[in-house]
Amino acid sequence: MRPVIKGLISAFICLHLIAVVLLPNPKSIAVRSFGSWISAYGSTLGVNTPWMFFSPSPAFGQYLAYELLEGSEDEDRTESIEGSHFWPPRRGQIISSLNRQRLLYHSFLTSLSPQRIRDFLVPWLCRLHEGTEGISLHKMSKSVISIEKAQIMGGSFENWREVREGPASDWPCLSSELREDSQKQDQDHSDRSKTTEDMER
Amino acid sequence: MRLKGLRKLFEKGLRLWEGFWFAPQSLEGISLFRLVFCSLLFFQYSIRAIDTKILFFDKGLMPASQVINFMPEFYRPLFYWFPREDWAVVLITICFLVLLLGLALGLFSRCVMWLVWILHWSLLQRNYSIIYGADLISGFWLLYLSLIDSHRHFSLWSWWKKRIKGVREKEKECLSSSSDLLSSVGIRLIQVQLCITYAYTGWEKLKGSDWWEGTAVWQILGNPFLAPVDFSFFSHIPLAIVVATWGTLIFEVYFCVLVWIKKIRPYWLLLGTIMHLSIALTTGLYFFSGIMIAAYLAFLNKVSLRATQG
Repeated sequence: MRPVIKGLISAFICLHLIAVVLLPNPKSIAVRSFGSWISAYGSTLGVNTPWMFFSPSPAFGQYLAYELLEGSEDEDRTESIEGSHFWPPRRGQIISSLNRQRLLYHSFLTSLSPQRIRDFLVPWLCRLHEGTEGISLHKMSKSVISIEKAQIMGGSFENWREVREGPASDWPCLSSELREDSQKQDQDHSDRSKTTEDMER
Repeated sequence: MRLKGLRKLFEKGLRLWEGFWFAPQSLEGISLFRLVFCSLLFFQYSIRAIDTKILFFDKGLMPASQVINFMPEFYRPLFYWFPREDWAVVLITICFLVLLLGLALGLFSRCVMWLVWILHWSLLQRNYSIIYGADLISGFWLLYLSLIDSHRHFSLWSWWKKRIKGVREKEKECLSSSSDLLSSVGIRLIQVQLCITYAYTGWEKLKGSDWWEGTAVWQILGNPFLAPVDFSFFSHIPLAIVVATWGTLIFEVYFCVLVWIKKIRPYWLLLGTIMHLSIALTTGLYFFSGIMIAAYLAFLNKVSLRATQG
C-alpha cells in the first residue's frame, strides 16, 4: 500500500514542480507547448506567478493627475470644474495607513493599460466623484536623477525627481449599462478579428 | 552489464528521491512557522478589513461584474469562487479571520488550512488588482501548510494534550514526533518554492540595467509611493546603495544552491533576514518581509531550534 501511495504522491510532486518551475516564464516555448493543461492547473491553484519583484528594473513613481469635467449643453465640449486631483491619493489626502496606500498604488499600477483605464480606473473615479460628467486625466511619472547629480545639487528627493506629464485624455462618465455594452462590442469586434485572422491562416 | 549499471543508477536515484521527499522530519520548525505566518496573515487581513468597502464592495474599486474582465487570460482559473454580494464579502472576511486566528493558535488541523486557502483565494479573486507579493506567497504557504501536520507544537492543542497526558509523557511524544508522508512533502515544497521564487526574481533582475549599474536601490528609495520616509541621506553614502543592490542580486541568484549546504545555510538565512528587514524599513512592505522571513523556519530542524533556545 505504502509504495502505491508514494508513487501517487511522487506523480503529484512532479506535476506540481513542472507547474511552479515553468509557469513563472509564460512566454517560454515549454509553456506554449504544454500550455493549456499546465496553466489550467497553475491558475486554479494560484501558482502561476511571475516572480518579478522590482525587476527587471524598479518602476518609476507613477500617478494620475485628473480634473472633473462638467458637460456643456450649448457646445459639444466639456469644461473643467475643479483643480487637479490625484490617484492614488497623496498621503494625508484620504490615505492614513501605509498598507492602504500600498494596495491602492498597486491597484493603480495594474490598471494602467488604455483598456483598463477606460474600463476600471475612469469608472472608479466617476464613482468616487459622484455627479461628475467626465474626467480629464494625465498620466504622470516621477523618475529620480542619478546619485552623482543629486550630490552636486544638494537638497532632498523632493528636488531630485523629474516629473513627466503625459498627454491629457478626456473620458465621459458612462452608466454601468452603457459601459458594459461598449465592452461587449469591443469583445465581439476582437472575436471577429480573431476569426478572420484564423481563416486567413 | 550495462543494464545492471542502469538499474543501480535508477535505484540510487529512487533512494535519493525518497530520502529527499519522504524522510521523516522534525515538526517543531514548521509548527513555529505556522504560528508566525498565520499570525502575520491575520494582522494583514485585519488591517485590510478596515478598507473592505473600497477594496471589495461593488461600489469600490472593482465592481463584481468586472472581476473576470480584469484578469489577464493566462491567469484565469478554471473556477471562480469569489463572493459577488457585499454581505458575502463581509461574511467570508469574518470566517477567514476567525479560522486564521484558530490556526495561528494551533486549534485546528490541516483540513482547516485547506478551507482557509479557499477563502484566501476567494477574496483575492474578488479584486485581482490589489494582489501583490505578500498575497501570492501567502497562497503558496497556505497550500503547502494544508499538507502538513503543523499544529503538533507551539499550539493550544499540544498544550491541552500536555495537561491531560502529563508532562513526561508529552515530552516523550514530542521527542518521537516526526512528520508523516504528506507533512514531509509539504515541508520540502515550502523549501523548494523559496528557491524557485528567489531564483526567478534574481534572474529577472539580471535583465535590468539598474541592477547591473548598482543603482536600483536608489530608484526604489526615491519612489514617493514606496518609501515611508525621506532617505535622501543615502546620497552621501553611495557605497551603501551599491552594496544593497548587488547584495540583493547575489543573495537571490545563489539562494537556491547555497541554502542546501548545511555549513552556509545559517549565514545565508541570516543575510536574507537582514535583506527583508531592510526592504520592510525602506519600502513599507512589512507583511511581505515578515512572511518571507517566517518561511526560513521551514529550514530549521530540531537541533538548530534547540541551539537557538540555548
